[in-house]
Amino acid sequence: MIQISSDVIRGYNDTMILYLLWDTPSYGYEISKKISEMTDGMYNIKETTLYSAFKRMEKENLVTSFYQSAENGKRRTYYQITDAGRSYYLSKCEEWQVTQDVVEHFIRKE
Amino acid sequence: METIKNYLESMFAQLPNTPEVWKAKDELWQMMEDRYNDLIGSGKTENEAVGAVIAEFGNLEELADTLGISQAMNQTRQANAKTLSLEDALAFVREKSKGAFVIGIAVLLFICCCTGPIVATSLVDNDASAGLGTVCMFLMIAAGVGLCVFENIKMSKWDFLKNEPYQISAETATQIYQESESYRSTSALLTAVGIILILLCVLPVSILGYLNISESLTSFGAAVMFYFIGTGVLILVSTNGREKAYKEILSLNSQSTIAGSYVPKNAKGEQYNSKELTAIMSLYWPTITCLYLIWSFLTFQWGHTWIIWPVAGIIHLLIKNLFGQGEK
Repeated sequence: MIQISSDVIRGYNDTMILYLLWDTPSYGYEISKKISEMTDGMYNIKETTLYSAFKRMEKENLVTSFYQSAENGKRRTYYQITDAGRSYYLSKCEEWQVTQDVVEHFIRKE
Repeated sequence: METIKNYLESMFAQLPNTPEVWKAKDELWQMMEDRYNDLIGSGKTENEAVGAVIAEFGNLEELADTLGISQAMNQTRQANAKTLSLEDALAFVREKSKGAFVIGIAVLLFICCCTGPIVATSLVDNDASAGLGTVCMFLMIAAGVGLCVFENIKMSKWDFLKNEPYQISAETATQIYQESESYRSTSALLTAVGIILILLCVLPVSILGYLNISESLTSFGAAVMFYFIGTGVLILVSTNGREKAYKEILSLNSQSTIAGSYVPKNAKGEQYNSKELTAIMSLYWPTITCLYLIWSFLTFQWGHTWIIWPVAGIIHLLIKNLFGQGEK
């Protein structure tokens, strides 16, 4: 199976995380697991990558964080999307469409 | 699980002790724990789960900008502090405890050196036996001094720990910390035994004196008293030596690194408002001990002189509460 190089996908980590936060707040491992499941294991986000993405987006006010205790009493950091985060996500979706169209011209189809 | 915790600790060991770094460590730990539990839940073995968690951890350099530690990370790499290995750390503790025992024996010899003349003259009261007792005394002193010198030379090979910058990894810190914790109950017990021996030192001489069988037997009891004190001090010195060795290793790391948070808070001993007072107070208990012994030997009123201890304890508590720097 071809592994995606993390350099290429780096610019879209935020997009994936914001997509998963769209409906409901979530926490680190849940997001990481969903990314692996949705991509059938083709992309596994590293924990340090995920954490630095959270902190960067928090600084840019795209997400906010809060603590919440889980069923088993474990305290987790949850992240919630903000309005700025939603509009950033939508602009990234548009950007991806354009990127895809542009790159598509250079992909051989034989 | 322990492996993962140690892995994370060692990754963060050299990072500065800031809230950002704690937060990152805490949250990465949450994620690793979640992943581990999930993998175990889905039927993976402990080894597979640990391997997968560590493989998915990523790279700390990715966090450098987030944590504002890019500079610190570069500095750490340039820092020339050498790392003391776990084996060396354990060897240090072992040799240091042995050394404390040897010093304890030397102190025992010093304390008991006067028993030579006491016993010799109580058995046969003439010039020859007095001379023999004195020779015995000097032999004991010489042996004690010899032991001290020998031990000093032997321990000097560890001087590099004081002269050069050294640090320990989080793994070593954890192990040493756990060992020192598990030694705590033994040390409390030994300390109690040592103190009891010292307190009971007057027992043989007072019992023999009370029975009043013969004068020489009573002075023999006086000699035994010194051995009680000497053995008590030996136990206290060697227990204390081992504890100090643990503390010395744990305080190698600077307080400003995460690994440095293993340094026990009271490692510096009692602190007072002024430097002078701290210096004076460090001599408090030795002074009281001297006063007690001088007063007791001059008056031989052992039944009354013990009162000095509770009084000294109360005064110490008063000074500590009035001028001491409370733990925050």
